[in-house]
Amino acid sequence: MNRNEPPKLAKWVLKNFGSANEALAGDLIEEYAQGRSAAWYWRQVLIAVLIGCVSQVRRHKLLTVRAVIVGWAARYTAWYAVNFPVYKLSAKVLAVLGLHPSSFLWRQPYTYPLLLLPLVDGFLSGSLVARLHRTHRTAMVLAYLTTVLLYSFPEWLRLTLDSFSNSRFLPYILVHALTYSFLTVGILLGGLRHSEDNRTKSAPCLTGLPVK
Amino acid sequence: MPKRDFLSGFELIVLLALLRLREDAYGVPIVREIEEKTRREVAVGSVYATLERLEEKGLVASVLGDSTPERGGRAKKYFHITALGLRQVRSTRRALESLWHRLPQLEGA
Repeated sequence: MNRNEPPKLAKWVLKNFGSANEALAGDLIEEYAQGRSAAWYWRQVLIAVLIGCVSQVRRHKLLTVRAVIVGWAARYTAWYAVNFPVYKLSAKVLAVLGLHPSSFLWRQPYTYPLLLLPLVDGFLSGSLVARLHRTHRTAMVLAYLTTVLLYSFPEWLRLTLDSFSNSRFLPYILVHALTYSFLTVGILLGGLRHSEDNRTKSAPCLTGLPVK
Repeated sequence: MPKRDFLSGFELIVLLALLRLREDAYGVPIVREIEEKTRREVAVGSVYATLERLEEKGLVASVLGDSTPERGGRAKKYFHITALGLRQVRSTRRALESLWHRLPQLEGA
């Protein structure tokens, strides 16, 4: 392993989720080359991303509220415009094929592709939040994602408590986990859709370096 | 009594590290100085966030240095304390010393 090169995935996370602080990125590379561990580098990257996002949310509270409202509005619109019609269409198709359109997705494997649908509304909502908040894209997308995950928490709690008393609730937890995993991936993919070029071009003052 | 912004604990630590390092104060030596003196791991991101806050308050100023291949072509950012920052550190020191003065719990430590 080249000691001068930190873990590539961690570098990618810092580049795409960090606050475009080139001096900080350089410091982390220098420290890593001087003997800090990969675990140290990962910790520093994750803390830097978190601190950057929290700092931006604190400085731009109204913008954060707007980002969250936009995200939720986009998500519900996407759900009614895309997901709901797909669910209805799939039920009709299954009926035509003589298959039972079960509302309990895990019971019939042919309904498993429907579990991927949260990717769609997640992607569309994350993309819209990122597009409308380019300069603070990462912080706004993560703030929106945080509200989505917090919203799911009561359901997690209910399912977990129910499953302690009756194991038949375990598949519900699995479906809930898959739904929110795909939703999270969709939001992050949609939020990352806008390239690094857009980020550095919109905020060259953060780096203090000439824009190439 | 005039209104004053007091330095937080970590802000004071960062400013003292800048004073100790003088011209060589950029991210890496600042972090190492604080870790050596506090004997705790310090997050580089939190140091930069603190320095950014101090710069906004006018207590610290920064200048970009040269980029080097060892840093992946990224420039160092050197920080130095301003006259206002130095006054703030002195003021905080006076306040802390007067609060610490003759505390029986701290005597004989």
